[in-house]
Amino acid sequence: MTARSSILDRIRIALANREAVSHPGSFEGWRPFIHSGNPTEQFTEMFEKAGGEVVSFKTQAEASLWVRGFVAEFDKVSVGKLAQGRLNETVEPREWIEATDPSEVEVGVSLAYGAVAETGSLIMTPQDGRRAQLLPPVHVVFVDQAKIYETLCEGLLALKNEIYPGDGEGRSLPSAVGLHSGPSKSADIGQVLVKGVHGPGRVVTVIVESK
Amino acid sequence: MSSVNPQRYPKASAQALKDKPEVRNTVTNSTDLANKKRMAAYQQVESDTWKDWGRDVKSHALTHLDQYLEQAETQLLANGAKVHWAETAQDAQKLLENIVLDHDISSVVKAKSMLSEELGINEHLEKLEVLVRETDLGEYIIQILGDRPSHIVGPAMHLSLEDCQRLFHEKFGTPIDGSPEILAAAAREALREEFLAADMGISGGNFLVAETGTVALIENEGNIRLSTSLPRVHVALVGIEKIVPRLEDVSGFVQLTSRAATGQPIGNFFSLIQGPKRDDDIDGPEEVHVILVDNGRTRLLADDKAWESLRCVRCGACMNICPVYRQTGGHPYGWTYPGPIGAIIAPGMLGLEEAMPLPYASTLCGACVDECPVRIPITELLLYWREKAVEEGLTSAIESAGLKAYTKAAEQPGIFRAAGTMLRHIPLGAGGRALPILSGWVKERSAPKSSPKSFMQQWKDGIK
Repeated sequence: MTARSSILDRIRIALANREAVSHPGSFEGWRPFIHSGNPTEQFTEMFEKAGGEVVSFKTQAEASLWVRGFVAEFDKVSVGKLAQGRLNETVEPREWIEATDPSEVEVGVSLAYGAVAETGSLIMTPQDGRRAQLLPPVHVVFVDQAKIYETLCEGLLALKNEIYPGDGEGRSLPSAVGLHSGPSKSADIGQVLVKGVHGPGRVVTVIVESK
Repeated sequence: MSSVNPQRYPKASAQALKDKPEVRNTVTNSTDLANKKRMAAYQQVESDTWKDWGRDVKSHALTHLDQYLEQAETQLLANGAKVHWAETAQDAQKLLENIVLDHDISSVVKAKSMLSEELGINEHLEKLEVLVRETDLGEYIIQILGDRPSHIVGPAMHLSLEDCQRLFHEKFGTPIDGSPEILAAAAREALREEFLAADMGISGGNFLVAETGTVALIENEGNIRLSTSLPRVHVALVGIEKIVPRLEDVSGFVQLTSRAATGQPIGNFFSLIQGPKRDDDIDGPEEVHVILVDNGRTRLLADDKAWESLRCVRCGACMNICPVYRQTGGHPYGWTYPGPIGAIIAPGMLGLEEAMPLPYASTLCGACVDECPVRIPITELLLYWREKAVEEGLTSAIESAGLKAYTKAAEQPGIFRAAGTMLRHIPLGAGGRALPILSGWVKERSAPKSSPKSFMQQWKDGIK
């Protein structure tokens, strides 16, 4: 008998006379708390409360120009694959974008799949590159305002229903999704809050109002 | 396997209070802060509705556990992950050992996992001469000290800032009065190199989503994301009770658990891991292994009453609010899971005799019941295990007579409160010793004066 069948057998015996409990339905069936503002306002409020920064621009070109100025203050920059597309589409000249290894740079630029108002979270996917999202001490993230979802549930379902190349039968999530809801922090040393322990200690969200 | 010795609890707790009185202050300060944050976070939402929902989804998942585990396995395989099943700690160690040997692994970075603690993973890897590095800051400190976690969320909660300053001064040469920022920067630098060099990352799993085959992990530091993103192999150790049916469910549970554990709306990093790197991904592990672990969980599931404790999401709220836990921190409990939750899952997972006297490590004040995000009836289950202990002759005769009367009374809250009110007016000195429930207790202690207010009342009013 394999461990698998032994475990499943023991579960079935344990449950044989147990009354089954029904699923109460989606977490979406009732709202946790209604925010008075719109999703973008709520995202901004939640993200800033968690120690993140938010800037907003009318167009991608304006946003890209701002990011260009921002990263110019650092020696080396690493840009995620999807974010590079955004920058190259709109900013000239292009030479300044160097494909530097994220472990050696001070700032990383990424493109989020979307964001969540309810929790103040950026939804990060591996198509953009996970190292650029995690290794540099400063992380700058583009997100389209149209993809700021009200609830976490909506955001995750939208991502699940997205079709990616290489998806098999049925729709599925990317290989690994990371929700980033502010800078890295820890209170493990004497219960004092410290930012930037392993992940980025500074996170700047750049909202693009219309693509 | 990590040491399991709850039997030493009475001696170990007395000794901790005597030898390390400062731990009481450190733990009390930390848990006070956690309690304030959690209560504020609960107040921001309709926490009663959230808790009911959490209870019901978990009970649903547990009463359909076989189906959901099979579904999770099928989906994980479709995602390209590998799935293993471990009945015991030894099985899990062996499975991990095989992966280590297959992939020629020489160094491992670990994300905080209480299950790996329960299974004795670090000790086993060290036997295999694999370099094991804990990367959660608290776990890292514990590892350097050769200590054990004392809390399931804040493993180094028993250590003060001064303790950490001394340690980092010796290890890294940071100033003896270095700020937490300076200490954390030193740890970040040292650990960064290990992250980049590691062959394997090991994590636990907060939730396992059956529908999508997702291992979900909540954290604040980013070390879990790094451990599961950088090394070429990722192994997730997941207890079989961590199942939730759907992706929608995990969007609720991450918020409920975060609020209960740290008072945050969501942990700063939340990982949803489906499988290894795909062709269009820039980076990520080449292989993802999920080890589904029983190690006593089906034994607990088989108990018609105590199975409900498998709903636990390991938020630590019950230990933070527990007036017994905060006197000593988690070490004297002698098991991976201290405090109220440990006292009710240990008898089911390890066997009652092995877990004695943990069900007695409580005043039955019930503060934990109000805080539990999945409404585990902790007090009821403490009494249940005590009754069983009496039935099985695991406790002394005098105590059992008292407990039977006490249990009867406690099951009827009206009588319980009335009796409490009455007893508070009887002097506990010589007369108190005549009370059967107290005589065993008073034998080893001097009886205190009764308080004019009940404990439950004082606790609610906020005594220290």
